[in-house]
Amino acid sequence: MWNYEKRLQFPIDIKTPNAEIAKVIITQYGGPDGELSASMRYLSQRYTIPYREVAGLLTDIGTEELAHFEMIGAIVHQLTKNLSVEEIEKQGFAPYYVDHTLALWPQAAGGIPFNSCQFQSKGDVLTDLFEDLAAEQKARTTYDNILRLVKDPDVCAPIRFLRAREIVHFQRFGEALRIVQEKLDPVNFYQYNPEFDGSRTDCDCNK
Amino acid sequence: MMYRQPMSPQYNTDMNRNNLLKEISMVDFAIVDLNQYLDTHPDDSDAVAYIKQYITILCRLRQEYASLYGPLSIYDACYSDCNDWRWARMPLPWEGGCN
Repeated sequence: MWNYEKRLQFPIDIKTPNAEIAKVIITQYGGPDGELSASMRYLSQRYTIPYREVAGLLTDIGTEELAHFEMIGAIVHQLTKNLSVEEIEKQGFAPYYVDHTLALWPQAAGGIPFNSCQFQSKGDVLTDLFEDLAAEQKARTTYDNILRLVKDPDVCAPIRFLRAREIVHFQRFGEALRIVQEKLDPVNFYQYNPEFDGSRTDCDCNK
Repeated sequence: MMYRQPMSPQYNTDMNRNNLLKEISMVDFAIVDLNQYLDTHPDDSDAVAYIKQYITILCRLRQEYASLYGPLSIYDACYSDCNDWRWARMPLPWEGGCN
């Protein structure tokens, strides 16, 4: 269950439209390491995780990623608001414009549409947590790359905020991994899959 | 944390609205961050005391915002005196400017 608040997690007020930069930042809306992928990854992985702390963390981080998805939407929207056809053409935005006008649509910077294959929900808590740790680092690198391209301080401030959150989430997932490992067989973490074999005492993998 | 007195309606300007919203964002961010920390450290009683303190502050700020400018969530509508459904006319967060 979710509730909506009519505010952004971090204020966004961009005074100068720039379609060239919008074309790059949209990758964090629907690209492989973007906020939509992040949210769907965590919110999908959580159901089968038998550890409440970890399932709870995935819920809370997955929820914050939805707020980040909205922040990226707001940035792209404000960067493309009120553009003239001449500006759209000059700033290389015509291929996007022809399909979506100035609406938001989840895609990567190169135009590749959002796809669930951009993330995994594997049903093995170790596998999923390593995926989540990697996802936070990949998003952090993407924000680093964006920050090298963006000069406008109105755009840099929210992007820096989002970049910092990737680092905090990486830290939290590292703690979740430690919590899980403490509950597993210390001789062999892969002795059994707690998401599948956990409650099955007669399982071959448990012997 | 220090907090100023609630604003009187005659100073009900866009700048004040923006400042109050900024304050709400700051306090709420502390809560979001502390909550995720507590997911992996549920026995840290200092962090529990902190988050409860921030939640108390946030409730007061949201109530103040709702009474002056309209509810940020429909559950704050009980603090808004308007007879119309103010929520429907609230500025949308992606509009920029003072939103």
